[in-house]
Amino acid sequence: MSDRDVRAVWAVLVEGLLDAVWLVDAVTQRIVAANAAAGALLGTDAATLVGRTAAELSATPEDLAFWHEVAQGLDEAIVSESLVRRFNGSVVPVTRRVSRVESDGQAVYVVVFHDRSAHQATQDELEHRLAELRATLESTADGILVTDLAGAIRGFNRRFASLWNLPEELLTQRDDAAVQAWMRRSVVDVEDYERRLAAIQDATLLQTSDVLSLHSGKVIERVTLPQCSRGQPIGRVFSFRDITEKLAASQRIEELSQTDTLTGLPNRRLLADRVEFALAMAQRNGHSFALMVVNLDRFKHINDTFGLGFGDRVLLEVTERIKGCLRSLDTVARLGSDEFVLLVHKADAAGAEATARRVIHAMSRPFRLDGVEFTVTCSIGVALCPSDGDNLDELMRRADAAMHRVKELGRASFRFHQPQADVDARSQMQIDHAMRQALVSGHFRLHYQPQVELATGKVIGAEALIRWRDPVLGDVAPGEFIPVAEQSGFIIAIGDWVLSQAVAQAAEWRDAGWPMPVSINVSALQFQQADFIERVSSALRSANLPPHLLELELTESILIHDAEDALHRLKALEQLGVMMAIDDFGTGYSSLAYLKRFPIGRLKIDRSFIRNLPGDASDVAIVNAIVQLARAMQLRVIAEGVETEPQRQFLLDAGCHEFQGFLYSPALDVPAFESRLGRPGPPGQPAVRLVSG
Amino acid sequence: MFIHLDVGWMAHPFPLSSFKISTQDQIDTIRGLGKQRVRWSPEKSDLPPEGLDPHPAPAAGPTLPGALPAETDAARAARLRREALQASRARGALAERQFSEATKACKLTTELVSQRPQEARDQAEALSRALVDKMLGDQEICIRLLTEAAGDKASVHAVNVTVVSLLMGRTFGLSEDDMLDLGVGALMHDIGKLELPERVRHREEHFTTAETQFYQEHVAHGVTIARKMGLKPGATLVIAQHHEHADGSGFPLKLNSDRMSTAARIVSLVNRYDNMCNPHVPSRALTPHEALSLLFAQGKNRYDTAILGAFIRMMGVYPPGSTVQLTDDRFALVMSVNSSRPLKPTVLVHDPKVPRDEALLLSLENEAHLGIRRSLKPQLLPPEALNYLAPRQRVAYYFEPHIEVEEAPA
Repeated sequence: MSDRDVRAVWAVLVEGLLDAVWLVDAVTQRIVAANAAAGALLGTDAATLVGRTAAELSATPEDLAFWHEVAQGLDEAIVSESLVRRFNGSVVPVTRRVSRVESDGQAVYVVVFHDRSAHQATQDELEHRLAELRATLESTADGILVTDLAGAIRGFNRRFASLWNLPEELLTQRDDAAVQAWMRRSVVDVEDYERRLAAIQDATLLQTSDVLSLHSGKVIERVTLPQCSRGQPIGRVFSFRDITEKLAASQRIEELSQTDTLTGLPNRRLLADRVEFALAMAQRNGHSFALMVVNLDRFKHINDTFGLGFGDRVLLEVTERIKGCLRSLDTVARLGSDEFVLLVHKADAAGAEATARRVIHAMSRPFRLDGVEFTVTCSIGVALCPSDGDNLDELMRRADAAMHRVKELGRASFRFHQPQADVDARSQMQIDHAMRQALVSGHFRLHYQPQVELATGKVIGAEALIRWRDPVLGDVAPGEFIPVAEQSGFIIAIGDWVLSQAVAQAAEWRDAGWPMPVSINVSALQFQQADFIERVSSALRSANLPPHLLELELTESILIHDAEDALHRLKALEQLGVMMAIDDFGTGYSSLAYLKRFPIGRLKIDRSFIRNLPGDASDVAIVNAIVQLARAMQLRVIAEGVETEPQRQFLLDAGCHEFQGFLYSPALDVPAFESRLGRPGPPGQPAVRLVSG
Repeated sequence: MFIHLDVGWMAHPFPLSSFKISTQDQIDTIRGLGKQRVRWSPEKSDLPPEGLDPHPAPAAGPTLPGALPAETDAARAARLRREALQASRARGALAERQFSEATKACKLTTELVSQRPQEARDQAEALSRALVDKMLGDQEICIRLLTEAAGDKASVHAVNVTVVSLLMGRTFGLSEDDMLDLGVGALMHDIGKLELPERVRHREEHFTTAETQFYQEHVAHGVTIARKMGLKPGATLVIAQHHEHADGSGFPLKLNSDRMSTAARIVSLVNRYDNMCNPHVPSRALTPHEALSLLFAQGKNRYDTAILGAFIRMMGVYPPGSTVQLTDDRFALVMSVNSSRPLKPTVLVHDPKVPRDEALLLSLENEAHLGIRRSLKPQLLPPEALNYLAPRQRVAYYFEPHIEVEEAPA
């Protein structure tokens, strides 16, 4: 074939290809054939291209370099991304492939172009978006960290690095473990940090927010949100905000403020200043002054009943009344919710007493808010300077102790600090210590007081009562050590002991064929233990006692404290099958609504209502009312502290079901109890003995 | 004798601050430095024969190659790669130190300009002299990519443009005086921007006519400052013409190639290149290869053909610092130029099987079937390759005496 013929064949060949193609003569490096697509790519017609040199049409250094190498015989093929320049001067991105073909001793280079414009445009757009996203990420004031579901780091912004003071080398290393270790090392409470982080990682869909303190002194607020793609969680975004300054500012504001925000009264800080001043004056001029702690009685109840907003308005009214009792140079401060402190200048005991009486009198007027009328009383403790102390702490402590003493003694009164009270406190510590010894050494005993059915005179049960005979202290009355145990929490241990002891005793009696239901008193603290129900049930199980032979006596306050929780527990106890009674009924706050819902079997009328029966008309009315109420609600009623026959008769007439008291028997130790009631000797004999009332 | 000159590199004309003395000229020059003492390293020096050595080598030392445990071929290859890479990185560290000294000096000069223009001129000339001294001579010098360029943006730009321009000037065989002027002009080319408010110092596409005019005035301000400093005409010309184009499309005078000085033609191109690689807004950065391609494709007429050709010869088709993908799909970072085979530079190859400190430094010239398929932006690299190759955000160049690197078998 002639050259011309060969070229004609090539021209036909390349024309059939989709991509832009031209052929370059190996010797002359001139284009010998080009297809229409090539013409279109360059914005001209194919014929224009033929005859031009490869170098002439090269738009990039690499094309130029390649043809240069070809000329030197160094290279004969290339595939790479490149550009071509259209005849109008614009530039098109392409993938360009050159290969050498030989045919009939003639060599040509086949140059194929694939247009990458569309691909490039997409990629540019993507890059642009990414850059924008990146810029957005960098423009936030928060530190951002993105992790995948496994916790591996997918990215973070510079603010994140600066917040956590990440060292420069960590920024470039992309070492997740190192970054996480660095964060772990930076926080103050590592254990808590790890625990919370694990919790966050565990719950893929959880949104969280918490605060971290760093060793650097920074306080960082951490908010984390699940990162979702197409509805599926794919990771988590942590944002960190430096709230150090915000916190410092609010702390500073707090420090600078000297008044209570609700009442505008001086707060603890300002009070301290004024007391300092008063102390200085007292030392210089020899004047005494009084510090009085005023605490509202059962104020919590007002909040619980009417709401905090209402309570706040009561406090404002109280503030006005107290202010009205003082001279303008004296100070009323509010330290806490319902705790006020009065600083009365130039006051001796008589002056302080007059002020305290004025306050109590001012408070005795009924309050009226939103058409509700009610009374708020207060308990006041007084300490005098210099006789009771010469510094704020000491005076406050003593006035406070005196105030608490008032509360113990029935509230709505005032009391001076008395050195005796301190002695009390010391003996309390002694009692607390001795009590713990007593439990270990077995100095506690349970005595049992029989409970009698009024109509039949039959003993239907016994209340277990704790007794303590200490080798050193002698007999310690429950009234003395139970409050101490309640304060220190030791009541739980005592309660446990009582429970197991009483259950064991009841089981023994029952096994002896003498089933005797036993009641025990349950303290609030014990009742609120998370595992209380479990403890009761295991005590029953281990003694193998049928549950109906155990009765738990609960006070109203236990039940009202958190009624929903109480209801929940009572239901569980009911499920267990144990009996339940309300102790000291009538002395606390009861809600009839709750009473209806609680699975209670029996009410015990408090001994204070029984004492003056049947002479005291109001006690008569109260007891009648309680009995009627109980009967209406189908509860049994038992009266305690019954000491006289007229009392028994009254209760019988009133319709009360049962009683206990000295009239029948005091609490007895087990042998006395058994002999008093005539426990049958050998087990197996049914022996129910009737007793006369 | 192997000596260390414990002064800043600008204070002496040698390419390196530590080297082995081989000529009497060097000794004379060192004497000329006026130093009382120089430090030397006996272990690197050719010592007099045995017996005079005050520190005889301990007998247990690694003396005979035969005493070493036999090294497998693979281990040897890895060791050689490691050593080559370490040597390359050590040279890089040296270049970085010198570059950083230069940017510091440049910054100082800029700070002096407004208050003490003549002192600033002396500084600029000293810096230019220091750079030129290191380039003169017969030794082959090649361009070196820096991994870290310390200094503020403006100084790094100025030094970058100066280094590349001087290397270009050297290939054009400029006289020493012209080289010095080129250096000063390149260092000071943007000095007029001191007079501009920050907002208009960097050209933006959205500039209004007024803003563009403002921006362009930095050239005129530059000339005024150059006069105040008392710069030589050659250097002043570079400042005046660094935005002119060969085809008359530049500013402020729309001069064409014939009326531009060679130095100005060089700086005009190099300045454009550096601005494309290291723009004011980093997200608009082009890779060195993209920048070069674009200069070539769009600006074939804007720049003097000879200068563009020389620039490409010097930088290669894929300039150092370009991230590329090879024809076998592996990713690589271009490390140095092969001036005779511009398509076949030396690259650092990402190979997950090879630890990073033994990475393959591959001369593509020796790999018949391996070529570069494309260049790409670093952010498009897969994370592992990005970590491995660790390309830098900012592309900066320095130079070093040409050293034949022992090629490790791949």
